[in-house]
Amino acid sequence: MNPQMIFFLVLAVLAIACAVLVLQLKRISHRVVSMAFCFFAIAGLYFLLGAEFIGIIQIIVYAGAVTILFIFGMMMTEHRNITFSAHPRKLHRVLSFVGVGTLLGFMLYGILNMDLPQNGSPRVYEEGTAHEIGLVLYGHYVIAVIGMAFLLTAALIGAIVIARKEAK
Amino acid sequence: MSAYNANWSLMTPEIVLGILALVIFTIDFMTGVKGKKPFLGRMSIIALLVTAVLVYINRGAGTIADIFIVDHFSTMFKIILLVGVAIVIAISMHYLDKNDDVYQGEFYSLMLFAALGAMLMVSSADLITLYIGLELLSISSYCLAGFKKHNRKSTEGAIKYVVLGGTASAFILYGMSFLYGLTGTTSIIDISQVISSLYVDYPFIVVMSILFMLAGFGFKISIVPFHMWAPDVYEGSPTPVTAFLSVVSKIAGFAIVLRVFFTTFLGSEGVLYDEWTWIIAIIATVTMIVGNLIALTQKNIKRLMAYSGVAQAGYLLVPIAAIFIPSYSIGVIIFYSIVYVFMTLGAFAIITLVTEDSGRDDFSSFSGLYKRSPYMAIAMSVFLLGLAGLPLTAGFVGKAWIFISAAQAGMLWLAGVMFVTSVISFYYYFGVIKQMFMNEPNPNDVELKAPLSISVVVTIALAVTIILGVLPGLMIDWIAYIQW
Repeated sequence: MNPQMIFFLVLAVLAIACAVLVLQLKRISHRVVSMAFCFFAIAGLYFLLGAEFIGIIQIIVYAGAVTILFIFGMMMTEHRNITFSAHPRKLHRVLSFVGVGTLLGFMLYGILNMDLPQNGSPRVYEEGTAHEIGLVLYGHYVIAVIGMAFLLTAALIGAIVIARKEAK
Repeated sequence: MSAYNANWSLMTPEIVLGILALVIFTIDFMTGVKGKKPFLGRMSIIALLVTAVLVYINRGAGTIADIFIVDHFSTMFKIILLVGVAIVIAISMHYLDKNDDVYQGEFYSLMLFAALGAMLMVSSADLITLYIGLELLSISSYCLAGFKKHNRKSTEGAIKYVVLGGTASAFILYGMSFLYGLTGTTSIIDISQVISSLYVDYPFIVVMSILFMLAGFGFKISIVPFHMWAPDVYEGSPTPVTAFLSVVSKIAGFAIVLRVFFTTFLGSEGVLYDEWTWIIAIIATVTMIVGNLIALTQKNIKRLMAYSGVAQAGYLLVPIAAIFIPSYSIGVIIFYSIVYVFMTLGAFAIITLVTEDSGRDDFSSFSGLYKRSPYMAIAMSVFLLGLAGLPLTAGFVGKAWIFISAAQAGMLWLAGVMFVTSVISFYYYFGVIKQMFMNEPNPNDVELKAPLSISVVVTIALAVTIILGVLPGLMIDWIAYIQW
């Protein structure tokens, strides 16, 4: 077992465990902390894949900014438990568990049975650099970038409208 | 060709609409937070119609760097969607006039952004732009669904829509990631060239990717079993937004389903086609049956329209499942989309008028509509009969064409299911018509005066429904065998 594999296993288990904890923990502050660790673990996976730029962005944007935003959101809102309907019935839980389990089984079957050709030569990691990403992003995918700009504008407008406190 | 020296004039309509949307948004915040702003509504309609004209002028064929394509298919769908959004805004002008607690300018600008997203979606030949267009449309819709934020149902609907919509997006992305992992490209055209050989090597992964994307898109076009969100969201949203969701989101979703499935997953000479056509045929069957049967028990007009919309999505799936010639199926779907847009929006214009007048949205608010406003009652009957598929309306022609194309493709049983479920649908549409004609008006209801915007919308929709019903040749000759 090479060191890469060990790091992968540690990071993967960490990411999944933290993601499960986000759903399982009771207090929202604990959930935010475990989400931050989940983001860090995913950043580590990016580093393992040789995508340093994406890994650093993951840490800056997700582990940094998004987590801080969640903490702000937590501080500024009152968070009572609001449910629209009664707790899910036992039958529903069992059914959804079976459904998700089947899906997971199929996916694992598909992925484990896939024999991808072994790439003998180690890849030269040039694609993941900021220079390359910038050229592709603002060259080939410039329409997508502009589309993202409109998307963020629309999301911002909508968020402000819905979150705005009315002056009485 | 790289994007640097591409023919950017192909994107003129999108650029114009984007700029106009930002201008309208700027004018909005320069004119204060509160107050009625009908001029913004008129400007939005003009912006959309100008864009539609530009789309028509620009119709030729061409691509920008293989990620943005302009062809007959995208031109047709863009015009349908833009006209649809313009009609929705005309309906919203009446709604916003009646409701003080809705921010007016933001409502219009979000609609325009959503229209921009829909245009980007139908024109994209790349999974990334396709997804971004889809999200631009979806995120604007999430916000619009929750626009009556002091209304419990609106908020509940919006939350459900956001959570389930996000899940659907995750499914789409996961399906796309399989394709990208196998091919190393996100271009639909490049993927379509290698998909046949990939399918031979990795059948399981390719089918899984198809299923994931089908599930995600299925949510957006609300087909069974991914329809659970539709009734709650439709009921809670402001009525014009309900119209928007049931028309613009659905038709744009169908456009990308067509684009993705008919280019990417057809494989060379349709080898891959046998793998997913039976899945879509089953989904179409279940969608038609479930949508129509649950609609029978509805007492709320918006929930009824939600289940009716589910059933209509099932009819639209039939030509995708039963491919005779791909371009022929596209023609059938485009024709039914046009018909569906006008009939549904006409019906929603009247629903907005009636429910805003009475303040309730159950069937009883329609009782005696014929005595209060004969024209509206007759027009509503025509729209509902058209949705049910009665002869002499455009709905009948559309359904007949779907029926014939399914029969030609050798899927007579699917056409049979469609026929039987259409007959069932008469029952619930007639329920509303009976309320309008047979029942007496509620005691304190007076004559219903329709504002200009609603009357214009209803008249246009009525004209299209009847003209295309009587003289379908006007459209069919033009649409049949449309090319990419």
